[in-house]
Amino acid sequence: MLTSSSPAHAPKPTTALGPVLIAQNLYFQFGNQIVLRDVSLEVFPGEVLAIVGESGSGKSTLLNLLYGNLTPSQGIVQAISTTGLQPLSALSQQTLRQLQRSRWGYVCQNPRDALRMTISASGNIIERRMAMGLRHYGTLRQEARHWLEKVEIDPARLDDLPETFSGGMLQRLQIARTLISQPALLYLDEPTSGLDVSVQAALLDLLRKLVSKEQMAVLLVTHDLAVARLLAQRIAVMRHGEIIEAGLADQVLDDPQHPYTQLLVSSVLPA
Amino acid sequence: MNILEVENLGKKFVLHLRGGWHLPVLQGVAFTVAAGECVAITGTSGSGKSSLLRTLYGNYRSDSGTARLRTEQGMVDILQSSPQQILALRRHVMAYASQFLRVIPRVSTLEIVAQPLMEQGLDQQMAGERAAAMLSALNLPRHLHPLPPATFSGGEQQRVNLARTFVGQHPLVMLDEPTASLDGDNAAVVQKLIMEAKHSGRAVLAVFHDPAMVRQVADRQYFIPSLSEHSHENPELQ
Amino acid sequence: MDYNFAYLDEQSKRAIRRSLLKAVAIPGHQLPFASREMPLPYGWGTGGIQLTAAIIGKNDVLKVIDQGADDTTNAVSIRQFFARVTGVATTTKTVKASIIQTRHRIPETPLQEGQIMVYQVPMPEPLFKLEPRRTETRILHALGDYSLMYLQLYDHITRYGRVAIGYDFPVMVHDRYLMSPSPIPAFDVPKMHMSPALQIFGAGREKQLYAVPPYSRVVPLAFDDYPFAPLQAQAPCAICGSQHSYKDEIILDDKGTRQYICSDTDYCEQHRC
Repeated sequence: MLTSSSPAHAPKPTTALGPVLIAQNLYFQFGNQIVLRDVSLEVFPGEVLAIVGESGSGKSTLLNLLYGNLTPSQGIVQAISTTGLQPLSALSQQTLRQLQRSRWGYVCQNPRDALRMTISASGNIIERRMAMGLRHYGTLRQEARHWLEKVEIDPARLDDLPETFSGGMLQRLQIARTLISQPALLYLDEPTSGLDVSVQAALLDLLRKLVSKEQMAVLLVTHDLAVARLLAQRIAVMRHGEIIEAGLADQVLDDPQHPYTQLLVSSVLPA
Repeated sequence: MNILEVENLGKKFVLHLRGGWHLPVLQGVAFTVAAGECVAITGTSGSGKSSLLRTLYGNYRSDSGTARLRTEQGMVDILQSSPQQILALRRHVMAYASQFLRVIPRVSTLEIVAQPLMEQGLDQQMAGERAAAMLSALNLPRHLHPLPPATFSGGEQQRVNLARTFVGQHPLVMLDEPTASLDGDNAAVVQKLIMEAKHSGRAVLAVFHDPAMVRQVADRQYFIPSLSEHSHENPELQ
Repeated sequence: MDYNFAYLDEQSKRAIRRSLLKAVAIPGHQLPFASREMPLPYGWGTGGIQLTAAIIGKNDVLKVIDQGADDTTNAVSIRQFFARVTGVATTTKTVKASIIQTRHRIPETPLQEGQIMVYQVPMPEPLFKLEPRRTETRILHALGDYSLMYLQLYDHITRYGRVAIGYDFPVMVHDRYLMSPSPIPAFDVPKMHMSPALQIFGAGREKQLYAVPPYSRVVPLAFDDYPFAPLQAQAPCAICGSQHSYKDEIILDDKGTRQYICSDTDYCEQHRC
């Protein structure tokens, strides 16, 4: 009776998929300064989890732990590998790097840090595919063109050097270069912070579409609550190295519980 | 058969920025909505009508009570559900239209309305067709479909919002003043959509600003109990 | 003045030989060695000389070539140097040499078992131009991640329609390590593949050495649809008439009249009739 509306509306089995990233009770210390305290989280396929907080709240350190660039002082990070979930501490450096370049993706704030500025745009895009062993020039070119279109860059720019691109285009290029390996797990580190507002909106829209289409699990680190609201289904608020509040994105933003979250939300300038 | 069973629901805001001031908004809320039924929530201004809908949709947290929603897997307490469960409920079981459309920059009207269908697993083309049909039913002509609704009038935006809410055929539809910014013709369309939902066995829970709408579509009214008083129900309006 | 046999002291030679053994065991893998001051400047073949000094024995016959020629300054002075500090026999004939030290060429005459090629290497790191951090290139070698080099090939095809690398063409050794074959022409690269000779490489300034043992796979990088295709001279040798050798191009007058002659002087002499 209840679901008699139409057979096409039968629930998709997406809810049955387990998390692709699990962090349990992470601590991280620099000397005797505790940078992260008892952080736990999970990210599921097809969802965006936003980590929000001010600079210095520990969100970048957390991202580095979850990406395998840092090792936690205590606690376990498990992430999707070629053979299901694996504790990062059990991976060899080689396996970790392969995962970082195929099953995972990382988009950083400044695209110049990730792109190869002396290699053509198309070369930048297909690097991961070559790392995965594709050795056919024609196919590589085709894929480069395809992804350039996907991130809405004029295919005529295929062989231009990134130097000639605007900031927004560079960020698109970084996204194409990252998503070409169809990662199951995507880390976004302040992906739109360096951009003009209009460019930011277009890029957020693009990211939103790509993420929902590819059913990726996304960990988004941002200080911008508006970005979190647009992209994320869930939000975790960090302060002083701890997650002080977490939940549905709209719930955390519309009905914040913790004093600090209330302060953050009330500090947002109206659009 | 009840689709929604709310018992003893309570909600208060704690305003930490004002020295931890406690602001109770809902207390002892209890009612049910059955399949094929429209229940109108009434109460004085500021009695928490919108807050109640938001709490049931998972947008606000609650402090006490239960709100059991019928799903294919049986009754599920919304108030105790994890974010993932609430997202699944929103995809397949409950839809909600706030008073104002929260627009996403640059996203077209058609896409906004097609999105719930695509989240339910429809392909892009099918979802687009149904979304377009729903928009047209709400008198939003085709030439507006590719435009983002940011520049639309209040009434047009509200119709986009309603289209998005009704298009997914969710078993429970929650509406917050759906006709507040609509003219008579469009209010009549909304009335028709509510009646269709009822006929297809779905449940509607709504806050109406217009008493005439209550008389025309609601089967029952539920008065939100004023704080610290007992709740009561006013059955059989029509 | 008396020098120790082959100029270097015995301990230095031993240290180099030890590194060479390891290099032979890990074909194509760069190893550091304690490169000494030599009586000629870096860039003149100090790496190759130290390797030759470390392996040469009293019964060896040494040939030294520079750009294929036995009679250029660099070749002559290195040959004389070893003649003086070892007293071993020297030759210009490829077939008679047991050790051939070379800059920029592999002899046209096929090498044989028992021969050793010693290459002078200016820059041992094939990824140097693409990734300047040595720490990073070491990691890339360890992981066998050479997409960076393929990227360069990709950009070459895109820009020039072919892989426009004329010399020092990047090769994979034993399907494992990316290696610089030293600045030999791409034309010579196929001679490295499955060569019966031992090939060792020394970079004096960079203090690195590496090796390709006999009968090793040495394969130039290529795309499936853009196979390795080195350029060849358009004309036969003006002296010996050889069609198959690698040529030097000589401009004869102001009008641009040009002539091609074998770069390998020994080969050219053998073929003259």
